[in-house]
Amino acid sequence: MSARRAVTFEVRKYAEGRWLIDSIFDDQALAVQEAEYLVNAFKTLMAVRVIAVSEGEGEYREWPIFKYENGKATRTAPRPEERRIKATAATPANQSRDFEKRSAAERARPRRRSFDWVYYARLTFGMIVVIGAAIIGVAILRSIS
Amino acid sequence: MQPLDRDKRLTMRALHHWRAILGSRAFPRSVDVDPASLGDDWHNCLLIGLKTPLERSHFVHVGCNLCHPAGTVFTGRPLADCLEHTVLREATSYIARVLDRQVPIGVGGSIAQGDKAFLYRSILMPLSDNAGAIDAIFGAASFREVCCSDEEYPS
Repeated sequence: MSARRAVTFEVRKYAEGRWLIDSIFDDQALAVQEAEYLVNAFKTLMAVRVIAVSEGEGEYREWPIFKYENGKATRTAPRPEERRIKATAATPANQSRDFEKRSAAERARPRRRSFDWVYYARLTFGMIVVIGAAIIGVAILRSIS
Repeated sequence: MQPLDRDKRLTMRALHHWRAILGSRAFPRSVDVDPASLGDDWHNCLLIGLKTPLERSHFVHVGCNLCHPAGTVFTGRPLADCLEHTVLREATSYIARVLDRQVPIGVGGSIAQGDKAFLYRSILMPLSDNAGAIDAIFGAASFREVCCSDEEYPS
């Protein structure tokens, strides 16, 4: 049986020129709630973070969940592994995609314009071919007449 | 500190009381824990006087809501006297972590008592009367009976 990975959530604050652990919770929502409380209650705090800490199986990992810095609070996106897991869970296998019915988020997202140089190269090549064909055509017509 | 809405979670209210009596010290003093300002929450609070080794530590106060069996007086009794599978036992099971990390630690979970199941949430906070070593612990816990499908922790 493998050892269970324990995840705790540390509320850390920047005070006296260094990061200090303020409190520790086993519940992410409570940790974020407490971080928000600190931000609101103690205006002198420069920065507050909630860091998820995972220990077990000889591994130690930590990643940010919540950040408050320079008067701005942000909830950090889940780490890549979590994103992958969530994406896998959210997308059923063999899901057929209806391209006509794009989601609002997809519609709002600008399409990525990669490889623009390919487009312009093709356009230039096409123009050269057309102009070349026209010149040859005119030359043939002149030679006939 | 600006006034904030009273937190709905008992453990967080206890933590905010701990912060309020902290002042500029590293840890609050045990005499600064104020039952009056905790109000009814005091019935879900506990105070532990620490000794070395930890097994010799004893309860200074156990709120009546945490006493199991009901009516048991824990004041002055060692930690080992609380029964297995009780909220009090679970809420005092991580004192060593608090001593190690020297910060408040909140823990929740579930316990089974016979055919009943309970969800609990607890918090332990360090206290020190000599502004140095932690010599006492202030804690709070709330719990409620649940059926199998319940998932939320008590407030």
